[in-house]
Amino acid sequence: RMSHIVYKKSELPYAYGALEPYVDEATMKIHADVDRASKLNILLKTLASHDVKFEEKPVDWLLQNLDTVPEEHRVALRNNAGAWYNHDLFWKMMQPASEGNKPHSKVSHALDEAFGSFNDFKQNFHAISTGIYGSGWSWLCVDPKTKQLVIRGTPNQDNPLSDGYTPILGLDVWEHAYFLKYHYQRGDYVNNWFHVVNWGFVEQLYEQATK
Amino acid sequence: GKMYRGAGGRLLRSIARNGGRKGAATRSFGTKLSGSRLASIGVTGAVFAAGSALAATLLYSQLNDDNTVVAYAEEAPAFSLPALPYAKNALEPFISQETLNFHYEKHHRGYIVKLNQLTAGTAHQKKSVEELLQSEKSGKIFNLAAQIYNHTFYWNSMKPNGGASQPPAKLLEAINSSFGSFENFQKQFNEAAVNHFGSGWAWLVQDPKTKKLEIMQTHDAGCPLNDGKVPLLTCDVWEHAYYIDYRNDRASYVNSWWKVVNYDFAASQMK
Repeated sequence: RMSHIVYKKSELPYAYGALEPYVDEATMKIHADVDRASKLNILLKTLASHDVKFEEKPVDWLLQNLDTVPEEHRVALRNNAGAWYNHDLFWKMMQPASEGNKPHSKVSHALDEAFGSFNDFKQNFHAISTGIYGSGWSWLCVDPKTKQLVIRGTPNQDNPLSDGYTPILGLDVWEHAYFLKYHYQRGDYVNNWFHVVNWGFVEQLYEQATK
Repeated sequence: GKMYRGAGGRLLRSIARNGGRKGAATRSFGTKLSGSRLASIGVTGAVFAAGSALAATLLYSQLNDDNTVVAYAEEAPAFSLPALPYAKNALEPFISQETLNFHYEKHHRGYIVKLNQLTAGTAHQKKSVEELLQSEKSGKIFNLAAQIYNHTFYWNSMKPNGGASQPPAKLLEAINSSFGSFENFQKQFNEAAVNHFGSGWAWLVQDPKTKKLEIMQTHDAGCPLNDGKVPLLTCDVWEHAYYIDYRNDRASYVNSWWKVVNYDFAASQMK
């Protein structure tokens, strides 16, 4: 039963205000605190209410294999496991801003190959992030077939794993992620967010995805 | 004399005489003149596409001593933002002035500006917002037209202290016969509004054939007009509608929405 899967409250690797001025403390307090607890609770309730036996599968396996979930449970799992997992990744994919923060060697090389340059990558990522209508996420992913980097948007709390892509960097573009500081100016939020990307973690994920 | 130049206005220089009739040359601010009438007082220029009947707002005209007229006109935008039915602080303490300011002035007005830009010079500008959202059904223009319609409907679905009034009899009858009870209607509406995942809207609608009332959820910019339903009430559950006042507590926001719900408006929409 679901007690075999350990869904625990995600760690926030830094203080709420550590991403200022790019991601504001007030947003982080709600997003990283209330949301972490409530998303975990919703996920646990969902799993309990659907009473599906998952044996000992981790959440990323679940998201890659949604078609093995009975149809009547699939949407709730996609939404709530996705919400929990996306955010679990998101906190780790950010870090306090620092001088000279940029992609590490392997990712840097892969970005140049896929997009031409780091700036071209940022422009593409910005375009996709601002182009997502309503609620969703934008992701830098490894295409498992070509091993190339691609940018993909997902609606709601969908994760690229469900489409067969491995995310190495993600950005929450639900309004709650930026509304308090940026209001409707999602583009400004995206531009500022580049300052707080944890390229070290991205490099780790890239290495795992391209083994 | 002083030449007034309105925002976006263009100088249209008349070379025709107007027969010395001062009264004919003087127009008040904001008077709409058709392209053909502008032409008749000798106003020509880049504003006119060949053969078009251009609606324009004459901002200012001046009769010169030599009886020439100088006129400043601004093309009337195809889509305009309807006025908010109440003051921005009128829904307090349930929905704050700050929220209405952002929601109306930035989001709603922003859609209007973008739709005018995107449809400039196209036949789309001849359509109403309702016609546009029903003909497009998806894509950028649909999203803008539908959000314009949905937000106007949302403002009208509320009024100061609306929830304190009893629903008009015909609405109450329809609610009772369609849902069994008012409580059941409220429960179902709340479920739709609170549980809708992501951005969207909760609606009370009427089926025009059966006359029965139903609850609907639409995602993103979705509009029940495209499902052949008659909207009666809507609650915006995009996060921008409630985040300032309620943060992520959508349930409390929906509770507050009931305090300002406009039953008279809903009844007026029934077929």
